Amino acid sequence: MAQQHKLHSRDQYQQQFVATVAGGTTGIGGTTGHGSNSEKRKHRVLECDSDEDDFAGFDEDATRSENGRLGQSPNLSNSISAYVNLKKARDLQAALSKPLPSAAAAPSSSSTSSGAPPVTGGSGSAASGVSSLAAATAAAEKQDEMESGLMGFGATGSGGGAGIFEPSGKAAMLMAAANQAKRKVVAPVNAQDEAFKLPFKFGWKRELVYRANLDGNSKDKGEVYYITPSGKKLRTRNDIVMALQDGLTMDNFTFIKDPVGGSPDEEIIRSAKSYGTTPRRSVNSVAPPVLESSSDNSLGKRIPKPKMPKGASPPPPASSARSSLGQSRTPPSSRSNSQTSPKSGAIVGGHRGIAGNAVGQKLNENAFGAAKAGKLKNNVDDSRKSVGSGATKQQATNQTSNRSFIAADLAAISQNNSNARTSSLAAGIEQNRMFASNFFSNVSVGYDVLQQTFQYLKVQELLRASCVCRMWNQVANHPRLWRTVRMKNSHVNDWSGLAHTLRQNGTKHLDLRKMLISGNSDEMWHRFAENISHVENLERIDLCRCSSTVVGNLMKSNPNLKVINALAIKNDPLDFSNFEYGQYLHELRLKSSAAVSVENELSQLGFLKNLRHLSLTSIQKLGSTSIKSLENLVNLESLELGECTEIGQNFAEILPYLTKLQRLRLEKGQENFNMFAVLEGIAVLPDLNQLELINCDVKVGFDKHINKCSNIKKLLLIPTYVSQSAATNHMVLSGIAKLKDSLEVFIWTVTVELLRVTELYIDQCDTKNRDDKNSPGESIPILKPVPGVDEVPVANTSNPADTPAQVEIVPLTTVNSILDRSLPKTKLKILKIPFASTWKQGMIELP
Amino acid sequence: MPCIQLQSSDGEIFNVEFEIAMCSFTIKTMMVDLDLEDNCEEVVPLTNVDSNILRKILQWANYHKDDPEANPEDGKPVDRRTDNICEWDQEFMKVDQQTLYGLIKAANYLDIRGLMALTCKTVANMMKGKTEEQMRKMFNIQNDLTPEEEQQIRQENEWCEEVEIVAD
Repeated sequence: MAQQHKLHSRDQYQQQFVATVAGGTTGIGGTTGHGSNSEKRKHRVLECDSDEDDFAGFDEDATRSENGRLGQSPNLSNSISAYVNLKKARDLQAALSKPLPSAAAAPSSSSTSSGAPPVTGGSGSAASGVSSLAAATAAAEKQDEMESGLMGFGATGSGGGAGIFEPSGKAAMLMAAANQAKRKVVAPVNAQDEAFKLPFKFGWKRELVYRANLDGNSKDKGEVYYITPSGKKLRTRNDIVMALQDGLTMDNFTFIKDPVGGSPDEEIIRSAKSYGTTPRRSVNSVAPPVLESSSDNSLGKRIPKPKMPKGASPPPPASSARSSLGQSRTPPSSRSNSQTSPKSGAIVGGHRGIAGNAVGQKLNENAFGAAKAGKLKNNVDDSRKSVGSGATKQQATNQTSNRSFIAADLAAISQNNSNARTSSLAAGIEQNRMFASNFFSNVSVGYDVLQQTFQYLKVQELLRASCVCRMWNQVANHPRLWRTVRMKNSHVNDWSGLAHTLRQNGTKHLDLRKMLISGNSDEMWHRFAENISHVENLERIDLCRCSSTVVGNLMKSNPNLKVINALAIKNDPLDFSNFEYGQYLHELRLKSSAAVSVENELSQLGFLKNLRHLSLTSIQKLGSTSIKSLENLVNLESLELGECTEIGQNFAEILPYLTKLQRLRLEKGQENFNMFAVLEGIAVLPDLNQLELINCDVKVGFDKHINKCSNIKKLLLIPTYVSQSAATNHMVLSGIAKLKDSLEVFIWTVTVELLRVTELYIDQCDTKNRDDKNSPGESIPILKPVPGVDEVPVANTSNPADTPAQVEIVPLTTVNSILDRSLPKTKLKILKIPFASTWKQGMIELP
Repeated sequence: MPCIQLQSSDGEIFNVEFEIAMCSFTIKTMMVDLDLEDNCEEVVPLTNVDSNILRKILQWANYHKDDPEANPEDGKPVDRRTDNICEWDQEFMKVDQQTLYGLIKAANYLDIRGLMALTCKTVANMMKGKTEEQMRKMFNIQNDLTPEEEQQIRQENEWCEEVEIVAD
């Protein structure tokens, strides 16, 4: 029996329904889908392989839903703007035409079979697009369940009738009653039984919708709906059971597909209109339209275009199909009118024969914008006229002007609200109309919101959420949420399970930092290595504390990896075996908490020919053995090296090979570090424009050598402040001043320790001035003569009598103004940070 | 200060300063595209935002009007923390579920990103640390998974172990 079938398929229905929505959501943009779509995804990946943040890449596809942001223009998501810009509105509709056939394809055959399009009379009951309305409305009811199931926020607004949602406990109870009721269907039913008329007395309505294309199966000749006194449309026994009141029982309701003899006001009998272009799959199927069509699509897949039989002419696009339908239905008078107010025509159509029109809500919502748009641009796509066009009472309104349409729309809305309270027939229908029109956007809101919410969940929370219900399961498995998997504070006890999930969800970035490891970590890494090779989609990995062999093994097992970050290498010496497999790697960062040594030369690093970024900052005495292999890394754009105690001429010889280098960072340039040689090397690289010198000795002569580096636009300088700080500062000031024409950004970092020492020094020596509150604040010592100081009033500098004559204690504010004067075109900043933080300090952007 | 008139679904008209209404990208886009910035006699109907919700939203927008505008394309990492909700917002979010849902829907429709993030974070926080059953109860969800399906999902998800969150 049809009803039984329906009841049985409820679960399925919901799931598939979600599938439809999901398909609609992801498919619209023509971007990603689920697993099967990996090719597409791969392509996208290439586009965003460098994004630091995990979500940057997918925003674009995830938001191309009808209620999300359309396309590149971020804010066109919404109805108002959709109205505002017709072209965009057209995009919107184009997008919608995809979910449409599946969502509302209904019992349709192609438009050609509609021999008798329902004539749209003035009677309130007549409505075209019946099947689609039915589909949308039915789905709207489903949506009640979904919304509450989805977010569980109880009864929701948007035109929802009373009693939309029952607490689940009660629902379960009622379900039993429903099942009981269901059994009675087996007995032959006399449609004319007076008992079936009883509900009319309490304000119920019955709606019988005959299918337009009767293909011989009388069981399948139509659908029956009940409309509660509050205007809610019910299509299943369960729904009715839950809405029963006033002493009515299920015996007063029947889904027999015959009239029960109510008056035209009480019982609406109408014909469905064939609709859409998707051929029906199964004649005998009694599943509701949404179910039927969406069963073609599993979740997340893009909805395929309807296929035509061989030899047939190419299928008309959905919108044009609708257009032709619309025109056949729309009275000429209103059509000619919609030439001038095309948008409102669409809206009015949307109102009644909403036709599963996902634009519906948006369209409805902003008559104002629509009218505006109508005024602004009169050339409209024909198809627009008849979006879900239906003959309605409001069409009369349509024949007036834009303005009055708006008024009518607003009136209808307010009327709708007041009517809802009086439970009149009009209210009921009105509410259904609102509901149907809101259906798609409401559902997609729910889906979208759930997805946005899930992005704040951690892996194990997400996994748990996926067990809650079907809907949550679907959403929680969306690839978007799995693009980056962070295992912080989590523990993996089954790496094959992780690999399976990552593979299935197309994860690109695995972040193992701060992952919890229990037991033998070598064993853990062994299991990791065994399984991670199966996750071919992985492109970026952040490792937690591990040995460098893990890095080498990864290069071998996952050649697709573009980025490997291992910032907690634990073995000493470093082991570069298998690094020869990393020839496709783009970024590599190796770091250890303490300096580690390398056993032999870095020759294996030379294989990483495609490397664009290399960070090698914890190598003890880097440069004491040959670093010549670095000259093979000709694609390097960014290079970080440390500890640079043996760096000098050897590195200066390599630099000319790294012609693409744009950024260079050198840490711990002390002891034998030869900054001057390095600066000579730097000066020959035209593209190199960012230099970071972290804890490097700035010795006398710096000013002469930095002078040549006119290629440097951004400079971060953290000098070593151990001894000779005054001389260092003198060199910095005079050196930087030489770059006044080329330097754009200069960040000078002094350590908190230096400031403290200086303060102590003032306290001890400057006894005279200690009491007057003329404290200069944070100061640094600068060897006299302070460069550039002769141009600056020195009033603020404190110069205690017993200070060694060569050193001037200069407040930072004064230093700042000296710099300001010396480098008028450069953005300047003096940072004060503790020595321990210097290693982490990077270039900062100045406003 | 120029104002715009917003009409809630139940007909109430709100006079809203431009600057505040601009938190909604939907409205902003409309204003810009229609070139309405100098002329705001029109009443903009917001047919799925009722007056209670709209009032709340305006309250929020007023408080946050000086917030830096979040630009999703500036390449900043997406904020995924849920423990960084400011006190005022926490207080603001102390509403019943229906209001919360109304806010989410309206934030989505009006495209108010800050509010969207706030509401979603709030809901995410409601989900955190709960078992499946507790989540179903909290959000009034009927478990429509068959026991077999649920078992299967659980099995597939077993690889990640629940661990007490330790302080970072």
